[in-house]
Amino acid sequence: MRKLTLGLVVILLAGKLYAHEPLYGFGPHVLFRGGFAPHINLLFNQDTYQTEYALGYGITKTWTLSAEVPYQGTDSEYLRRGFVLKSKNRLWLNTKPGKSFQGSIVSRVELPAQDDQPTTMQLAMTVGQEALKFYWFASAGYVARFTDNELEPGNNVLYNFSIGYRPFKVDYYKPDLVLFIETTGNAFQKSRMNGELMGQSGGTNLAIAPTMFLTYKNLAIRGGMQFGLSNSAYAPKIKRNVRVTIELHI
Amino acid sequence: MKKIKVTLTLMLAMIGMLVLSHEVVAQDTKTYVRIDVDGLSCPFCAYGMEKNLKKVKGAKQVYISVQDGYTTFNVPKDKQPTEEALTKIVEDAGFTARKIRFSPTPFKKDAK
Repeated sequence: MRKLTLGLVVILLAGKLYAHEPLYGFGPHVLFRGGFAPHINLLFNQDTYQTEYALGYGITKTWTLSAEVPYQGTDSEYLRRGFVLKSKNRLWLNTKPGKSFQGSIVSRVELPAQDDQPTTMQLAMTVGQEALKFYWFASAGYVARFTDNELEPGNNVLYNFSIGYRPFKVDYYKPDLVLFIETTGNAFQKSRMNGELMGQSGGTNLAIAPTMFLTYKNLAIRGGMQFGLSNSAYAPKIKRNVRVTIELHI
Repeated sequence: MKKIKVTLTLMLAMIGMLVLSHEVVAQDTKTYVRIDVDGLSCPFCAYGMEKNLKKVKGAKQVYISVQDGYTTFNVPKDKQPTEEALTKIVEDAGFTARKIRFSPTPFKKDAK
């Protein structure tokens, strides 16, 4: 049971970062065509820490592909968790002076490094608006897990909503700051043990995170702290955690 | 003494004329480009556009105003890019080129 809970927590905290979007959620923005986006993602909570090394590439003006190598550590070990491949396709873009509204579809596959971990596949839809003063992003997706083990973790629906505010006038040649409030939620199906539904599994959880997005031209630093707000049934409450990312567009 | 003053005045006048004529020649050899860009709201996103505009042959002094939604730069007159090429650069960066203007003189910053 402890293993299942830890596994779900890891999946919940797994990197969702992509070019320009909320720290704990998705956003529809894709990289410019021919652009590279190396980034490092760090996450800490009371029990574990994670590091992710990732590289995104703008294949076309509407399609970004990204590869990530996540690591997870505790007091006693530091292991590669797997390999992640993500794809984002922008489906529409509506622009006005100082404003853009766009929607994208995100798919993500995580291949585990250990045999006893499930392969995770994720499909999500994300929309959002970026403007000179205010931002908002909304996403919903489904996460499916596949394993040959006797313990099969339940799939889940995830959703997130973020709003952002730029407190200072934007200037391309000066550092830029946007402050966000992000909410993320999950609804888990029950897990199975030897094909039988496990009574003590499944449920929902909800978390909130104040975050900030500091950029200077092509360098971005994001940081924030996430707090678990609630959980129901046997879904784990999201532990308080800190996430920091550094990203470069070249 | 008077002769020296006259000579100095003449020399200064000649230098002034040379500088002015150089400015005129320099202006004549450049085309200034201004693109009004829709969707510009974030400097981090605008970087892709700046990077690709700098790849335009001969492009110099690329300037971006996110707040006012435009970019300007200049190119040698004989290397003026087409509107189609500039539209593609802007679109590849995730924005829309609303209006493209070419001028023999620099555009005033922040002027609509």
